[in-house]
Amino acid sequence: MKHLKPVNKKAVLVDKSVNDGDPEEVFAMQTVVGCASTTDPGWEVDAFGGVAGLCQPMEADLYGCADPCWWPAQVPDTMSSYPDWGKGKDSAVNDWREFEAVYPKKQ
Amino acid sequence: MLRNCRQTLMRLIKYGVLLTVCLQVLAAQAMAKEYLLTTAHPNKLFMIDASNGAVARSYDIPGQHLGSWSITVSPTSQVVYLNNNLNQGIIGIDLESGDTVFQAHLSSADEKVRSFYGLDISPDGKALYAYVSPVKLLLDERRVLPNRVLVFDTQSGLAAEPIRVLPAPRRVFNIMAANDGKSLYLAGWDVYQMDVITGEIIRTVPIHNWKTPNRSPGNAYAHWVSWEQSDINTLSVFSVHTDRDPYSLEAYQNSVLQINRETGAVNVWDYEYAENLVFSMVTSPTKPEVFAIYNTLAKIDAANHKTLKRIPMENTYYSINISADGSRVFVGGAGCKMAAHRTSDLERVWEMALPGCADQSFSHLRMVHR
Repeated sequence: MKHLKPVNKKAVLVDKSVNDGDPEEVFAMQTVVGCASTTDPGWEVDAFGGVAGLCQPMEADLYGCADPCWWPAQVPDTMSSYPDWGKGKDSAVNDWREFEAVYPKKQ
Repeated sequence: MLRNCRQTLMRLIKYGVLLTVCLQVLAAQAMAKEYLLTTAHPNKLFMIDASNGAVARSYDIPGQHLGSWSITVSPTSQVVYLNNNLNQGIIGIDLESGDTVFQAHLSSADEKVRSFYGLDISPDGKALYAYVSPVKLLLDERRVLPNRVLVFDTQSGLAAEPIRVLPAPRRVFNIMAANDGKSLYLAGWDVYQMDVITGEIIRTVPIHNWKTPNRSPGNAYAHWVSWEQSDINTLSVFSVHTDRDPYSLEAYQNSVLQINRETGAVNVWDYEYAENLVFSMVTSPTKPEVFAIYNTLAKIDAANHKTLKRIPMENTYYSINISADGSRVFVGGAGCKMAAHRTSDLERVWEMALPGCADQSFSHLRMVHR
């Protein structure tokens, strides 16, 4: 193990677990793990392939999706990973320009 | 003789006092105003005058910087219970003083516990029920644990610990205490009736697991709750007629699921094809009518199972509730707007935007009389 250098979070955890004597607590990833397991359509189309059935306006659904971690690909998860993403931006319909994209934190 | 006279006099005095108390209570109720309760980003609870949409009070929800979701009011209308701390806590706020009178912290060092939806109070106000999803925190794993119903003594103060922990089925999105105080209705993929003392599931009414011929599993979606005026938990259900052309609208069915907390009756009935999505519903306390909201507001005949009227809304609303006299429905949720409509013809009575146009997101919309 001393010749191997961890390059991602999982590998760092493997190293740590071996050093701490808990190697069985680290699992290889078998599936894509996201915030939600739903595969419902997102904001792009509704159940009938159109847009009339989506929330109107789109911003009406922004916190409704971010807060319960509904659409991990479209908005950050404000419950667990990015609780401050909407700080100071309490009105999505007015503040949407202020929202920023999020990126994985560097290790 | 003198003793009999004295006894008779004491009885008359006792009944006179009882009559006076009853009259006072009735008078107080008659004078009580009706308010809406909703929460909004970042940490606000708003009490809205139902007659005109004016903001009567606003409260800061301690330990919260997103809107809360579940709102439960004590039977005395004195305390409101909410999620806080990113759904890892339950807080009780005195509506008169604004003071925090109850706080339960759900998570611990090695367990993250959240309560999304599923909060109700016993009819006598002594027990608070919370449906929670616990996860054990291991080094490289979040091990999902069985879900639970936590039972709290509402007098536990600011360091409340559950007095009972009851294992509960998964996939439950709202819980409702029965009026007799003995059981809890858990609405999820199926409807479960749970004994609040033992946790025994004493009855299951299948929805997702129904055996309705030529029908897909029912998909009930309603974590918003609205039963306080009618005693009926009303949920929207979607299903597919599997014996019909899948490219026809008639294959897709909207239905109503009603759970009566007085009688225990659980009924599902079809009313229209699924041309319109429904997020939440409410049953009228005075007429056989149900109202549904999302991008349209619909009035549904609960006796004849058909839509009576539908009007478009200017934006999406997630939540709906109704006045005690059945004359007004109220809509809210999602963005910052709220509105009241006449139930007779769905005409709008008032509309308003919360201060700062703060988003309500997934907040419940509850009614309270004070």
